[in-house]
Amino acid sequence: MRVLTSGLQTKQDPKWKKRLDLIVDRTLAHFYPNGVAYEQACETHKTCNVDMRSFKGYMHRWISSATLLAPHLADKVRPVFETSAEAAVRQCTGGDNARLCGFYWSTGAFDGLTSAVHQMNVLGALTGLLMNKDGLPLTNTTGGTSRGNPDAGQSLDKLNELPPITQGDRAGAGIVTTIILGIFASLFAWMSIN
Amino acid sequence: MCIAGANWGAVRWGALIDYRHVTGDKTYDGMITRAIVHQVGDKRDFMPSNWTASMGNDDQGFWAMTAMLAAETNFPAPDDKHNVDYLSVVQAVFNEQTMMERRVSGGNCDGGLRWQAYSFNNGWDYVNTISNGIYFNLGARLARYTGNDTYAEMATKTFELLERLGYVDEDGNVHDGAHQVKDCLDVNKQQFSYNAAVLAQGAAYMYDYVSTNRRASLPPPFSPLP
Repeated sequence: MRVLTSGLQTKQDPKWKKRLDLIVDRTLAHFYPNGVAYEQACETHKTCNVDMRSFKGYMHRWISSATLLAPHLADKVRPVFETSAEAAVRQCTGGDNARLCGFYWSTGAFDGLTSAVHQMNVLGALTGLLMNKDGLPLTNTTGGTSRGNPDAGQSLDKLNELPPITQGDRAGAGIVTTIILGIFASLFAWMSIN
Repeated sequence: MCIAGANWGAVRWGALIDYRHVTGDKTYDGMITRAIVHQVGDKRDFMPSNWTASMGNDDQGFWAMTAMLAAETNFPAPDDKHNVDYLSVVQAVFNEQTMMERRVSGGNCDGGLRWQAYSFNNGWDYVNTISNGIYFNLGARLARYTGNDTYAEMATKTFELLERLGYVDEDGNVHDGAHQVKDCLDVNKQQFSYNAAVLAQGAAYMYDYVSTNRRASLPPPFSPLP
């Protein structure tokens, strides 16, 4: 007897779904106490360095991105991310314009720490909420225009001794803060958040 | 050597690209483009000479994630004179990080991507989740964008390594890494949100890639007569 399965591809690869669901479930439980993003390893004792203080922004954006390709996640992610974003925005009351954001979202109050990183985090939480299926990441068959080169990067730099290290461009932080504050002015109005 | 702020320094441009993508606000396009072009380096691999000596695989990888997002959102390419194609730069990073010079050879953590790119930097023997996680994330996204199954294989191998080493445990906790000198048995149980998030995003891309049969990763729909 000929064995047929449905010719339709159902979007249910079980192996990756299991891995994905496991991590997302644990992430929501561990990093969103009371639904608000919290950097567990360092936030309590205020030992987060500047990179660590940027992670909650990434978490909001990257997991929001994940829900675009795995829509079954949306029902559990969305309510938490809305709660978290509201808490984030609620404490953006600092600085001369009363709109600067701090790092400690769960306290409900601006913490006095003005830094581009903290503005970026809140921007990430808000943009994550605005991601939708009309903006799925492109591929080379769905309109992506970047050509690519599969043979790129086939040789490594060999450094035999430590050359002088330069600081690089670190002046961008102030510029980024200014940009993001401008963005918030319109985003907050648009989303009717107060 | 880890320079504080190296992570977010790369990721901030991705945050602005995401903002642009969901709002259509093109105000900051020029600034974003200049930042990426400034960082690509002579070999178009995000290893510019003024930063290279201190670059970790994670630093290089964060820039590649920003470039991957640029490709996925059709963020405008720089002027031709710069010779920068976002996808190509991501592929360059991925190919460099695939090489064994960047990885542990032998022992329990065999094949693991090191935190550092150069042996004279502190942390050379730390085999961490973020470096491997970004590599996994990029591999999954390259697979989905190009349809090339080799990227998916490398991504899958990487995730399986993280599971085997216990960096991802059976409850979904994502730990930070371990040291080659301890054969990667000294797992640092600290959990940082970015590790979990980079794996979650990559896993979603793998789920999409495999589920939609972007390449022949699923069995054929028919079984022939026995």
